[in-house]
Amino acid sequence: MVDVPRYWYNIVADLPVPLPPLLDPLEDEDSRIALLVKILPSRLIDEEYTLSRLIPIPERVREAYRKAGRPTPLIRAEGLEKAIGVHGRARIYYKYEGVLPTGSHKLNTAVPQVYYALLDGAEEVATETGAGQWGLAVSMAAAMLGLKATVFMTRSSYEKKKPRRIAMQALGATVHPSPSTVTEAGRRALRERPDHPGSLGLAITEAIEYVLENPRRRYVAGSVLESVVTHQTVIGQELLQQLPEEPDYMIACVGGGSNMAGFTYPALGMRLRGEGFDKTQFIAAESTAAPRLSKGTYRYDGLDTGLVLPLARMYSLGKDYVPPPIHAAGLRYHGAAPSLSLLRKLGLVEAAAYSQEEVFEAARIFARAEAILPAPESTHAIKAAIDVARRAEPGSVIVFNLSGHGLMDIDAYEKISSRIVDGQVPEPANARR
Amino acid sequence: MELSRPGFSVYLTIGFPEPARFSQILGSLSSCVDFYELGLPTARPKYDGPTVRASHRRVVAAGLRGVETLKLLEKTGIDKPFTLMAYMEDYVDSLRGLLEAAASVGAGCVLLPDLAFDYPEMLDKYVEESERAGLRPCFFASSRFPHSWLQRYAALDPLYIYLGLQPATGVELPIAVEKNVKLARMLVGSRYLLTGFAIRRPETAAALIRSGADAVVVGSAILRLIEEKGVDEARSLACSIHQAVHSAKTSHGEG
Ligand SMILES: Cc1ncc(COP(=O)(O)O)c(C=O)c1O
Repeated sequence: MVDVPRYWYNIVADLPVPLPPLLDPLEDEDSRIALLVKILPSRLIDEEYTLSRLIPIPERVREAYRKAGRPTPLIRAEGLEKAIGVHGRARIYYKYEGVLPTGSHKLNTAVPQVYYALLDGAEEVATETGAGQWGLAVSMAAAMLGLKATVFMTRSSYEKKKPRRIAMQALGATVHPSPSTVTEAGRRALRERPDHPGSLGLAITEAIEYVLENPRRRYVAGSVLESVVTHQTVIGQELLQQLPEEPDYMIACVGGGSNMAGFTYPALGMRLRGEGFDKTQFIAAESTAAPRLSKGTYRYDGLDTGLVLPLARMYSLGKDYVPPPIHAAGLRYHGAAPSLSLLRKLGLVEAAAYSQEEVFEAARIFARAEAILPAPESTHAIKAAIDVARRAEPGSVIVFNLSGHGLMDIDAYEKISSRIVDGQVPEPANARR
Repeated sequence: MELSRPGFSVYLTIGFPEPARFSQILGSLSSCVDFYELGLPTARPKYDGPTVRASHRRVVAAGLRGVETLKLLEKTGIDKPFTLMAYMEDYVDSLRGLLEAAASVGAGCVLLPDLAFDYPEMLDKYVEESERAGLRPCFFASSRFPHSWLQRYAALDPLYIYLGLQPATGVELPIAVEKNVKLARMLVGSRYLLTGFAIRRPETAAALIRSGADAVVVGSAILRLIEEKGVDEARSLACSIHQAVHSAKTSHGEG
């Protein structure tokens, strides 16, 4: 029987080369690193700076994981195999994080972070959100543990992703469109560009500014930080218990990188320690709207647009990059987690970027074949899995992370179904081969 | 050069706050210090915290930087063992010169805090060049560091392995540093484990020794006191930490 893991896995302990540290810009008189103590829950900081390979999951968090539906299932995608014509040639599996009550993997770190804020005596947590998946997870975790939540939601999503915004509000959270008039950073951005669609980098700056106004507030981070990435490894730790065979390919979509990391790191760690997975290819699927791992440069850059946070060495498109609005709003971040970036630089992780049109097609195939509406973010992983399955050697095994469902992304599906009705989406099943 | 166990060290940027007073400060701290860690002033102390960064800025602004400042040490005559700290970034093309200069003034090793992060491929060359110059290597590790690298360091017979406990010098975050020291101790075996970053109290220093550190080094707290309250206050902090370190009972019953 698969059980909820007792430990999170910290890949930093197993990296082939040391992870470059977070950095204060040289010219600063003060330290942004020192400021973290006023921003993040203290226990999260401790997890960010630990030599431990395994971090015990607090019993209260494990309990919440169980209640929320962990372990999540690993499903053989026979419907998809048939739909794309690879049945009998390739086996495809997906780990389904969409069964969690907020519909995505984000709850895996929202619960411990809100719990850690509570340990600090905080009354309120604040954060940013793109698609709203993260904001919803924080809103639910805050409701579970009795804290107030404030969410800065990128303006384009605030306007488009109404169901998730309303769900957050129903759970008691306050949701501001970002750029907002609540913070100086937001007001400045609006002065410069009144029609600013928002960006995750800017929404982070706003959430942090808001937290710094009051010592009873804590910021909770949706992705990118090593500690957050570590929390998501419950996915990959379970997967190791569930996999019937060692895969040739492991695929996940990448926003900040926590879903990809959480899904792959326990296996990648085994590879790094020489304990298996040596033939596995690890593929990061991103959006052409923010192709940091494919087209970005590996360098020190700001984690947030306002440079409140320290600099991190990562693949980045530049902290001021404002990606075009897309339905997969959770993938619109300029950088990728430092450890994932390092693994990409070392060639242990590959990257592929897909356009919105390509992934819609994959979403349509998958929805009909597996009877699940995937989240627009997760659709990037599906697209990569389909491509890989079609060109893979006979007998190949492909596993991807279905990081969320798309039941609240009706705006995106409205677009697909209208095209389907219009007959504009070509029958892709065998057409490509 | 051998370092005493347990040991207490003070970090100073060479030439800080200005050359004449620097010599004086070395002299007055000496009786409460087992060894010194001395930083070669640089324009880019990129992985240091605000206090150490400011000390570099100040010395560099006065026109002093790099290997040249070692002349100051020759003039001063330093009566304790010492090691040097420099950024690899400044010496990528002149590593041999740096290490030879260090050996000629009697340093035990040159610690390059950015070596592992920014020039991991140059680790072996650094070891080779250190030995060639008659020095032992010494290595920097952080509180998030690959275990295999700590073990690799240990196998290279270093003068010490420096564990930076906090994200940057002088910056104290709520990190379970004693737990990290215990784990590092297990990974490096009996090698000399020097710990530092943001230590400013005798109790913290003693706790680190009890957790398995061989020595502690204090930098920012001393630099700040020198700047704000004068050398006597700095000396009194150094002496109290020195005493705490030497009276702490270690996990193997020494001290
Ligand atoms: C469903 C879903 N999958 C994946 C992601 C991207 O996750 P990460 O930022 O951890 O890469 C998001 C981000 O919002 C998401 O909502």
